[in-house]
Amino acid sequence: MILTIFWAFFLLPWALRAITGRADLDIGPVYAALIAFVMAESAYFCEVIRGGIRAVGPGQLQAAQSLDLTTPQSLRLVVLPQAIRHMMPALVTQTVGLLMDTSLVYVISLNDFLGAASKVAQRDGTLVEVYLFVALCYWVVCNLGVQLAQWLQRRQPRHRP
Amino acid sequence: MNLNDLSWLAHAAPYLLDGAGTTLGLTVVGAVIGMAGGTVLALLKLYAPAWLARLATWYVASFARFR
Repeated sequence: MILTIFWAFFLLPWALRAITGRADLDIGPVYAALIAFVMAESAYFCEVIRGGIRAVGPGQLQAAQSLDLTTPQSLRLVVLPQAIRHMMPALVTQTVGLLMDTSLVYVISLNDFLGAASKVAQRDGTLVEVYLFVALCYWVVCNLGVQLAQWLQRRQPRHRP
Repeated sequence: MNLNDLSWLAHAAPYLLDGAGTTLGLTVVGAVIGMAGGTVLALLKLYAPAWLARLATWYVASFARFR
């Protein structure tokens, strides 16, 4: 992930400058981080979503198509609504992972929660207190996400229709 | 170090809230756009013509290697 962030911060503006010919072009750390996360997370989310779609089973798509629905209509109206139930726990878990990955933006000097805490701790000389507080905040948020994922997992039907 | 004394939190709160906003913003926007992109990639992998499916597979696999 750090490599992707570096690419988005250093390589992407360089490539855009080369393509557009504008020497002053710069995307800044926020957009660089966002582009890096979207590029990487879309690949990870893809596997989760593909697994959810495949869990529905081919019979649903065939049944929808036998009702004269086109493939996009079948996916939108029949397959995806069922697939979302299967993929929700993994999507929540992946989002919790993304929340933890955001702390890596310190490599491009972006001021995220951990980065801000680090600066405050060094300024005030309260390293232990601040880092404990930050750890507690991350633990609470991540634990809530995990609880949500487990609750969604329990709500899943045990047997496929 | 005094863990019962939380006066440092009052001084730190504006900076921490600013940082928390950045973290939450990156998470929410990254997750929403990532899910949209992931849906497109998943549909390409499952239902697109072979060359497009291979392209999507290559993209996903190239990021999986960095994980």
